[in-house]
Amino acid sequence: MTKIYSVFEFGTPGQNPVEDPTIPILPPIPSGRFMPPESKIPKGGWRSWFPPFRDVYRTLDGRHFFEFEFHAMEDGNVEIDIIRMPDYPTLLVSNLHETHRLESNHGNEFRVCFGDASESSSIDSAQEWAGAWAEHSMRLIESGIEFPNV
Amino acid sequence: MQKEKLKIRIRILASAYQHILETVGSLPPESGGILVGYLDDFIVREFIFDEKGATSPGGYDPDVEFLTASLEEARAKGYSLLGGLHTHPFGCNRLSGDYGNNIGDVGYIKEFLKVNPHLDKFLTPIAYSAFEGEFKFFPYWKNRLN
Repeated sequence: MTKIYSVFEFGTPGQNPVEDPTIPILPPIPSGRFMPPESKIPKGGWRSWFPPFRDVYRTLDGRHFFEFEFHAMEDGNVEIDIIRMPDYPTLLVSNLHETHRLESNHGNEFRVCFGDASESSSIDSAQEWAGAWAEHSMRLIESGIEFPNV
Repeated sequence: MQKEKLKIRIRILASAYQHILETVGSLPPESGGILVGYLDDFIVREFIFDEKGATSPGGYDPDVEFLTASLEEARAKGYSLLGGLHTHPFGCNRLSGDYGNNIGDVGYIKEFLKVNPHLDKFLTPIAYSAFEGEFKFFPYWKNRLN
């Protein structure tokens, strides 16, 4: 490995340079070349033509399954339609507010409601939200515990 | 016409191409990585597979931290970022649009060019993975000026 030495600017004339561990080791630039400019990888996502796709989430307790359909929107957000899930108690079936649902824009019955649609701006975050929504929905269905951010 | 065709050829080392085949070329669609090489000849010399990216049937979100670290290692060899490659599901052989927030192929390419002002063009080939049938390579790129 290349050792880096520092020479004291105001040192004694003739003083030998000493190894300075505080100076980072320089990268081994190929002979006859300069280091290229630093490139950056921006945050974002590659997409195919983005046909809607379905995925199944299994709740943490392993007892329930939710099927979602993910749709990429032109504004960069992802809408999550609810395809299949455990039944709601009768009183909650049509209560879209309390169950955090909206009508689907894609021919299905309902979709997951976000307070801020941009929270679901990638497939990764959409799946994370869908999973969280499923867990809260099961608490609501089984124990009557409301969503935390109503 | 022939000259025009030569101008738009993507040149890539066999070893880099082989690495593409062995990684994203064999995995389910929607995975990818970055292409690196010298800026002066723009030949792709290495493919850095993004093994930590978030993939799904509809998209692939690169792991920025992992790729940035890998890119820094490549830079020590004198390599620069030249482009990004990702796979699409069979039947989708075109770049997708700009869905905002750097989502969608065209939108993401724009952001790559924006944050890398030293790049005059950005290679954005897409591929079909052999996972779904036959591996195919579709050479695309975006010039900064058009």
